Amino acid sequence: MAKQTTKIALERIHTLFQQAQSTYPHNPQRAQRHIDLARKIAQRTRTHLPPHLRRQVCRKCNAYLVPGSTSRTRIRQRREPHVATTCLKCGNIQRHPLKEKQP
Amino acid sequence: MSPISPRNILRHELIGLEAGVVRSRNPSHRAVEGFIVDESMKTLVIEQDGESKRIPKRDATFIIKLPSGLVEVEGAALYGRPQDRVKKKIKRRW
Repeated sequence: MAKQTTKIALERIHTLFQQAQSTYPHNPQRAQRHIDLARKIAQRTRTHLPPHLRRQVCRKCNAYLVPGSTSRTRIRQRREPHVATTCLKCGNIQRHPLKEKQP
Repeated sequence: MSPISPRNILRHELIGLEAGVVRSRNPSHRAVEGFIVDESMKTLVIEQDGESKRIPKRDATFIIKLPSGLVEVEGAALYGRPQDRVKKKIKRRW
């Protein structure tokens, strides 16, 4: 029963992100609504957003990040090589290290 | 994964599916047909030719197109916020 809930939740999260992607060009607000719903479903069922989808949402303001439109992605070599994604709505920077974690 | 089916439709995502209103207490909603674009606790928003129509779930019966075929769903059975429906226990009534 509980397992089934997680499965359905993940499936719904995926479809919502797909919907957001296709509606974004002509209706950004609706796309944002889809993202909010996906996050709500994740919270309610206590499932994590899959890592590749988590990167499409701003950690600070929960905006849907579309490269070139609402986010800027740069590879930075200083300090530690990492990918820096800037949210163009709130200016928050998400940094993802390029080096694999050492076991 | 568990793709959407008539078995789990009450707990699954409706946004993005094609749907129509078969019966409604509001006669002007009876011919509405299109893609579901949004959902709230008590309504579904269907977009028809670029125009959004917000239809109360309670008063309508929907016909929803799934990848596996058409299903007719009583709107009252879909009652609940989208994120609450995932966990809803289904009472079988059909």
